[in-house]
Amino acid sequence: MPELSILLAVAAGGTAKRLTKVLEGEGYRADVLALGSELPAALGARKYDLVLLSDDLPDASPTELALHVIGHSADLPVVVLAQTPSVRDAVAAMKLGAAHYMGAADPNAEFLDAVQSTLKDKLEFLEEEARRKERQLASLVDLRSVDVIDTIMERHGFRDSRLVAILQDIQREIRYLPQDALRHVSERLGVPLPRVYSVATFYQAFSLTPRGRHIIKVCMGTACHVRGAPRVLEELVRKLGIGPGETTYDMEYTLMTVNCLGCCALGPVVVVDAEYHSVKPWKVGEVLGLEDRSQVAGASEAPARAEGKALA
Amino acid sequence: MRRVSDIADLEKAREEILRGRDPDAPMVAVCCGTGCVACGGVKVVDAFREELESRGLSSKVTLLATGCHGFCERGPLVVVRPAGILYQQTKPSDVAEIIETSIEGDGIVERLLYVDLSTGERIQREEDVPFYRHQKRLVLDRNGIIDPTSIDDYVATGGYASLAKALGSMTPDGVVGEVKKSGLRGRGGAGFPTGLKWELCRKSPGETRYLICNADEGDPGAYMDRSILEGNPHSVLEGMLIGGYALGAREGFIYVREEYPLAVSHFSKALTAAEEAGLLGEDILGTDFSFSVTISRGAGAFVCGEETALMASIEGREGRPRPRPPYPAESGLWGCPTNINNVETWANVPRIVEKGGKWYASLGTDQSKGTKIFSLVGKVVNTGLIEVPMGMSLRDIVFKIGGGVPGGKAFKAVQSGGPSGGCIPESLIDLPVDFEALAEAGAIMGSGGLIVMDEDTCMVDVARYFVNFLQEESCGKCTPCREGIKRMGEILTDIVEARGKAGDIERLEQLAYVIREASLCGLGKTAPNPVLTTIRYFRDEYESHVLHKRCPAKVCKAMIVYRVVADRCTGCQRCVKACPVDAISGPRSQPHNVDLEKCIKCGACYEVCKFDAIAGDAIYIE
Repeated sequence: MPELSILLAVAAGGTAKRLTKVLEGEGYRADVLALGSELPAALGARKYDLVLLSDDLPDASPTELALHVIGHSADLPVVVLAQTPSVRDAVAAMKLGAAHYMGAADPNAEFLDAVQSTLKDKLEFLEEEARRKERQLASLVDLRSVDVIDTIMERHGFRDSRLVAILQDIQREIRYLPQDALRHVSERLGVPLPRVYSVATFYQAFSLTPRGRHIIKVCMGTACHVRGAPRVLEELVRKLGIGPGETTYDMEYTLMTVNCLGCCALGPVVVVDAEYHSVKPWKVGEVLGLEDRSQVAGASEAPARAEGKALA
Repeated sequence: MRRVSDIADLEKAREEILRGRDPDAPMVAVCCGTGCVACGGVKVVDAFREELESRGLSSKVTLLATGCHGFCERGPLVVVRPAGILYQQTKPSDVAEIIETSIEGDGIVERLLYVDLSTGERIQREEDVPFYRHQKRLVLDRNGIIDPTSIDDYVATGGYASLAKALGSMTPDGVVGEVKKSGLRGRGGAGFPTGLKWELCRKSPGETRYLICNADEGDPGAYMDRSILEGNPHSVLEGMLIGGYALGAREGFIYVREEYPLAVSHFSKALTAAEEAGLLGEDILGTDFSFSVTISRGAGAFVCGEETALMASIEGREGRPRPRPPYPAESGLWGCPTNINNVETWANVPRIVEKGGKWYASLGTDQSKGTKIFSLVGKVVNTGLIEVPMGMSLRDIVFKIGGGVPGGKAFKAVQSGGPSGGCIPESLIDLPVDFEALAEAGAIMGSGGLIVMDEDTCMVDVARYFVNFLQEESCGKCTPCREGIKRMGEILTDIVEARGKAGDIERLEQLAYVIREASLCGLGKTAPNPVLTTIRYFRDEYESHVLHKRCPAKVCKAMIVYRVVADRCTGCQRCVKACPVDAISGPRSQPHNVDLEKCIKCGACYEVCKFDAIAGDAIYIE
């Protein structure tokens, strides 16, 4: 935790010394200000976490000073110390936004308590503020997705009958279906979330987890099966080190199986992104440019891909 | 194409297009179906474009990037017209020579011709290649001659004339009557008579009716719907328009699989072009018939090919089937009468309207009329898409058109109908392929995938493959399908992993019976077919696995070990290089050795060996 700084505007003398000692004993930095007229310069020179204003300054009342502090920074808490406490002054101080009003003669423990609780409130406020900003930032990132999703839904006329198509388009844009996207779709279309979830999990084309930059689909159709598709898959599993449905840890490849791509005459067939390859099981790595992946695992650059079919 | 104002104007527009074209101009058609694209078809097109340009021929030669020609095995395919020369397995580097020889000159690039394996003869013309010679193409006929993204090409070859005919000179009842007369049956699997389906929907009370084109071609091994949508999307749209008119529907949907992006792209281009031409939308061809079509993309669920699940998916829900009745014809999409047909069925409709139901009924067999597209794939020499009249024998399909099994291996079976279908053994090879004959054999027509299997295919493994597939795809709504298929999968896995027990085969049969009788939808009802037909025709293979722990096809890993046959091994090191785990060693020119500790039984060595020196021994575990 960084050192907390406290500014004491209190007439020079015993009280100032005593309070400084108490505060420094707790690890705070305490600067003493003997004249109210020096306050603007002091506030400008340093970022304080708390200001203590006493009513014994020769040139200014705590009310004036408090107004000045609040004008300087609304987040800076103020505690008023009264040599001669009165209810009227206390109400006036509180009305100005002071965090505490206390007698300057109060015991050290009480004084410290007031300072610490004020600082704690301020810290909590700041933390909450940071969280709020973070949330706002996160939602700003989401806002872009929200825009994308809204555009997609608009294209489909916000009709719930187009739910499958909407989810397909979202997945095409974002590469998977994030939870927030499903919630957003549910709200905008007026479709209960369980139904959106049910559709998103029923169809094999949808993925609720992020997919790799490149999608490798191994055709498991009958024609490909009798021509060796299971061995093509085994080879890919070995080469990529992941099973079907999984994604390499560097998010480069997602391995999938599909039931027939409809180019049965060329079996066994593997599709990388949109490129079709007719492959022999023992040439899979070569054809797809995956041969050296075991060595370059983790490299973000996509390997060069061989073109067209490479029938032996 | 310009906007067409009325029915007579369509003919005028066609003449205008034809007037701008020289029928004798040389044309290069490059197949850009998904198969050929995978082999570099687009690069060949680019090479042609550049080469024609550099030779100043761009305006004289028509260059077409067409849809699938069907002969996927030999792609990329190039056809030079009007001579009709077929060049196969072309590369961008062949392009200059093709232009020089066959377009600028009138010669032939011999080395790119197709060689008939049985006679050794080089064949010049596309139509003389055995793969094409025995086909009859009604639906696929335009695939090789039009640019699928050009409505002009479709109209120039007579497209939308059937729509004009229906709107101009036929009543809706007349259209339904013609389809009934044609005997057309649904091409998606069950083979329900299309005309009857239309009539039922038309007679259902209700203001709003919907049409659906089912393009959720989920059966692995079948890709005809994809090729139609990619190669000739307007034919499907025209079919739907005629159907819309006949059934009194104003709105249609097409539900396309997620895995078919090119089909979606071509079909949506067709929608835009047809709308601009006044063939889709409000007051089509100046009549009061209006129709619109929406594309729905599937999201990877096999069960959505089932009609009630498909409708749920279009409505934006998870695609789970519901019990029938009510049938879609009574209560379908959003509770309205709905007619669902498959892509190929819709593509047949313009032909029927054009040439008449009687003509269509003259093709095919007694109960199954017209032609059917099959995808001939698996262990067969000429893989690809074929369209033949119903009733052609399986032998003609596999051997005459398909050229038999490659590598001198023995033919074992044909799997028909995808996961709902069954395996037809060699003993039934003369079976005429139509709805009834296939059903009798325990298989189904399905969407038309024919997967050829040879002696290296293990039938128990195939059965397990389908059961695994169906277990993954079962939506889980009804218990017999969800749990029953899972139990079948467990038993089959035990069998292929050498843990089979006496009685397993009978248990499978029992389970199959319950699943078939008690499941909610077609997926479950037909799920036992692959198991039942393989048990029926290949029981000895099952028994061999269960009783002797032997896999005769040497597929099931738990029952094989690989070893080198020393007196055949030449020490060529091919297997050493192919082995992914470095389990094979041995100096060059000396017999190699397989380290059984390291071997993962991937079979790479077995496949690359040119001397038959790797033996996948079937071993006895017990």
